Amino acid sequence: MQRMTDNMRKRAGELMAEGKADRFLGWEKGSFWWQSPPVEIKEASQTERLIWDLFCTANLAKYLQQMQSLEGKTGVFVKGCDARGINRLVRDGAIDRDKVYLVGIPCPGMIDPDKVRELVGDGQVTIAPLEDGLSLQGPLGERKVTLDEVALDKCLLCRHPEPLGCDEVLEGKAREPFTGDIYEEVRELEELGSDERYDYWAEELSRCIRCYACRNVCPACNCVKCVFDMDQPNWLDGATNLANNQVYQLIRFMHVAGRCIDCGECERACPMGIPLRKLAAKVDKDVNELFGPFEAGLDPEEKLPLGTFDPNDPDSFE
Amino acid sequence: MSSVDADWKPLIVGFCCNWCSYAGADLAGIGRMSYPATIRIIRVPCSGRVNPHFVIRAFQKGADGVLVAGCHPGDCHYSTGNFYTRRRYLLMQRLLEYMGIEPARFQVRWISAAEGAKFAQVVTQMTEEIQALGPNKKLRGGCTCNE
Repeated sequence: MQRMTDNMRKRAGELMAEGKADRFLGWEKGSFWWQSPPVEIKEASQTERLIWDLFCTANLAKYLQQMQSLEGKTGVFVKGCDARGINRLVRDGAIDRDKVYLVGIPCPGMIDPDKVRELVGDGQVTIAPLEDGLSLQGPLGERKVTLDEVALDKCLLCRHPEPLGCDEVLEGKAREPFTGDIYEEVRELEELGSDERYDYWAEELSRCIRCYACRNVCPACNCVKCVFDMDQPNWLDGATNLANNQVYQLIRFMHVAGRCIDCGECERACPMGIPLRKLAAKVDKDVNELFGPFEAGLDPEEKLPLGTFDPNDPDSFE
Repeated sequence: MSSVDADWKPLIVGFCCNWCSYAGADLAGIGRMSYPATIRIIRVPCSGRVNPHFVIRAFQKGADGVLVAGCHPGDCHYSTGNFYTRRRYLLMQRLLEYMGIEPARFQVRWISAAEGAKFAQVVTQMTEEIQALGPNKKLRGGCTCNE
C-alpha cells in the first residue's frame, strides 16, 4: 500500500513536470478511517496528499466528466472499475480521451467498512497489512482476516480488477478476476412469486428518499439534463412516496440498461442501504441472455445493446 | 384475487403505431368486430416512439394494463423503429416482472393494418386476463395535481 502511494505521488509529480497532465485526480485520506475521498491535485507540490489504501472506493469517472470544461489535460489514477467507467463516458462522448492521461492501478479489491465494524466493533479502527491478509484493531480487539473476508461484495464479483485502456499501469498485483456466477442473488429473487417480489421491492424502495445520490455518482448516468430534473414536462412528481420511488428506479435502470459497469457506486452512495445492484444485475443478466454476451466499459468503441438491434433478436411478443 | 367486483372492467392504455396497429384498430371498427370497450388508444408515430416512461406512468396514473402495438418486425414504416422497440420492451417486460408486476398487465403485440381481427382478439384476451387479476394496485399513486 505504502509503496503504491509513494509510486503514485512520484508519478503524478513527474507527469505534471513533463507537461503530460496539468492536474491529477486521485484519492486522499479523509476524516475517518473508512474514508478515502477523491482529491484534485492542482500543483506538483500537493502530490503528498495522494494516497492509495483499501478505501479508495470512489469511482473517479464522474468527477472526471465534471472536469471536462477545464483547460489542458487531466491525469487520473484508475482502478479496474474507474477505467471501465471512463471508457463508458468516452464512448458516450462525455469525456474527450485526448484530454485525459490514465494511470492504472491493479486493484486488490476494496474494503467494506460495515464488514470490518461487524468483526471489530464500531469505533476507531486501524488496519495493518500482513503477509497474507490484514490485521484489524478495533474496540472489540484484534482480528486477523484475509482481504476477501472484509472486501466489498462488488469486488468479490469483479471480473476486471486490472484497469483496461490506460496510458500506463503502475506495478502491482491485482486480485484474481471472478469467473463464477455473478447473478446468483438475481436468480434467488426470480424464483419468488410476483407478489413476494413486489413486496420485497416495495419494502426496499419505500425507504428511498430520492436524494438522487445513486444517479449523481453513476458513470452510466451522464445526461447533462436529467429527465428527473425536468419540470416541463413533469416526468415524476416531487413527493417521495412508494410509487414515485418505484417509477424513479425502474426508469433509471432502463436508462442505464446495457451501460452499467457494476462499479457498485449506486449502492455505496445510497444513504438508505437499498440493494440497487440487484436491479442493475437483473438488467445486465437479461441483456446478456437476450442480446448475446456483453460487458459495458471494456471498449470505448463498443456498440450499446439498446442502441442497436439484430433482425433475428428473440421475439416473445407474437 | 377471486373477490373482484363482477361489474368491474379493466382500463387498458394502448399505444398504437400510426401505420399498422392504429389502422388495424380502425379496420376492426370498420368491420364491426366487437371487443370489450376497455382500451383507450393513444396514437403514436411508431412503436419506437413509446418511451418506457409512458408505460410506467400509465400504471402510476391508474391503468390496469398497458398494450404497446406496432408493425410486425421487418414491416416498420421507418424500416427499423420496431426492432429497437422489441429490444427495449423485451428488457422492460422482464424488469417489470422482477419488480413484481404481473406479466399479463404489460404486453407488446405486432398487429398489421390488415389484422383487424387480431386487434379485437388481443384486446379481448388482454381484458380477460386482467379481469382475472383484478384492479392494479402496484405502482399506483403519487401526485394527481397536474392531471
